Amino acid sequence: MTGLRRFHPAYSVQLMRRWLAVCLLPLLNALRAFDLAAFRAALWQEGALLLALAAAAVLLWLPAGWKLEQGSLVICRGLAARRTLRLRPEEIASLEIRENPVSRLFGAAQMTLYPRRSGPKPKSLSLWLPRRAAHELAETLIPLREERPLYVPTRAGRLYLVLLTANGLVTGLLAFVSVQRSDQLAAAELKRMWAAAMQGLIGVERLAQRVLPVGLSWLLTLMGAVWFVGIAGGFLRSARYRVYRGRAVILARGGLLTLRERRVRPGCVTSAEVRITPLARLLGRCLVYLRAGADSGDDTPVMVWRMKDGVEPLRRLMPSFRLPPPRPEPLTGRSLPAFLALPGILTAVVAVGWLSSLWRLPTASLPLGVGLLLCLGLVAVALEGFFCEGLRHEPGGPPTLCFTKRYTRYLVCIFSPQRSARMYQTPFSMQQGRCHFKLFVSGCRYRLRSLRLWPARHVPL
Amino acid sequence: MEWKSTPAAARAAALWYTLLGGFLAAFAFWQSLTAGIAFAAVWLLLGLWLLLVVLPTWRVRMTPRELEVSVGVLFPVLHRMPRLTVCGLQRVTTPVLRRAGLCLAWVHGAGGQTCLLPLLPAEDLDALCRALGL
Repeated sequence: MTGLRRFHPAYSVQLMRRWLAVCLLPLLNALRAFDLAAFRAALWQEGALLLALAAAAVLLWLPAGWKLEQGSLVICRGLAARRTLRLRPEEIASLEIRENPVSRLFGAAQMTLYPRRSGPKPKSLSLWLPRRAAHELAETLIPLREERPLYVPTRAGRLYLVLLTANGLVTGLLAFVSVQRSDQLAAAELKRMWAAAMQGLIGVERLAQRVLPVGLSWLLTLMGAVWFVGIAGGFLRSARYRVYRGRAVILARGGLLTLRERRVRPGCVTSAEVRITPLARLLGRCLVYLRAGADSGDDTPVMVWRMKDGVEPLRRLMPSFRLPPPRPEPLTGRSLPAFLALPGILTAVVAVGWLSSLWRLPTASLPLGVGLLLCLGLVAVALEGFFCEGLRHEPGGPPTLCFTKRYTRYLVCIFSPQRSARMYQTPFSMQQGRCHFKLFVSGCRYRLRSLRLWPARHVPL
Repeated sequence: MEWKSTPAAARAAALWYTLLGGFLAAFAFWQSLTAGIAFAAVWLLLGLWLLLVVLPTWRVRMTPRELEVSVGVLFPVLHRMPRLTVCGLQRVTTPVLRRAGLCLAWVHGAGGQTCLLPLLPAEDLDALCRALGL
């Protein structure tokens, strides 16, 4: 049992960050008047508001704190209305400690606790603690008694750097083409064309002919840049990454700028997901994610699984892990439109645009062609879903399911016994004796299309 | 054990449906008389379909392991919740429902699923709660 220990002062900064929008209110007044005197007055008012908010944040920080009492974590918050939350360690499914460069400078760490059940709020609880206290508390709540390295990514850094370079080159090339195309558009000419567009439909067509190729090039450049940021983020997260498996904990830690440590209780793991993305198909390696209670674990994969290694490495992570069979459902009577309707319509629209561009607007045909390829990718993954989507529950093992969503194929193994289901039929699926199936597992939903009704109706939950 | 929608429930639902239709019809008649009449006709047909065909199919079944709620004719929906995972039942009554002796209720499952039950007599709902151990 310990006395009440205060949070790190970063707690008050976080409180202030939520209230900062209030400081913008005086600016509205200044915008309405739109003169220097009003702007100066607004700045003074903002300063006063900021001081008041800082004082309020400090006042709220002073009485807030945490303590360990009879093995439970007690969190006290609030000034006039005191709120006390008591959490037993067994109720915590997972926790994450995150230290970004700024917080490390001030010796703070953000600890997020995820409860076992995801129904009632709060779904997660974020605490700002001194760094050492955060690690001590993590050790108390989910102790790591033995460290057995389970997964150490080798050559992942080099792979990320290769990907980053390739993406950087392609994005740079796209940016160069976009800049060149933009340079060809003179401002005076654009103004004249805009005026013509206002006059009639032919003007609009001419304007579109000039502007569309440039816009599409910039769109592709933006997509490349976003992807670059994503890969760079992945590189920063995966650097110095290690996963350990103890008897009562799965621990993943690593990161370059932001240090992360995630502790998960294996008994609280809701499901394990293998995500087969297009990149994973190319490299033959997929990311594995664990969900535990309210922790969706979407931003921190637990390990990278090499497909040709088989299920064994996954069983070292979760001993009862099973992969769904490649063809869990017979295809007779399965609805093709249920899988292909949306990607098919999208592909048809883009294909029509691409064909018309070949005829009327050759400069736009390259970006539209890239768009068409992306859409064809969607169709291919949806077709794969038609063949492999399904649910299988064999006696003595956990249920497994496979489905596709956008470009990714998911292989999921469900460990949580807290499951329920919803089946939905349309007149067409009724004729074929099929249904759409939604499985609810501890706060997350998995949607499966066009399953046979009878097995879905009787699958043990 | 099985419970299904009763005539009293159909009457209560018809009252709500009519009130909502009356409120919306005001906006349709505001546009034009034809729009108002068209809206009223569509609303009436939809109401007859929902109240006379769909509502009687709404039923709750309790099997030894599961709670099942099914509804629908053209687009049937079936909810399956293992009894052990039912973690809460939320009950709402209004003056009209109290007069008819009915309750509106939702069941919450630990998996995160929420399922609306048909309008059931209060004593049936009590029996359902007892059977679920709530």
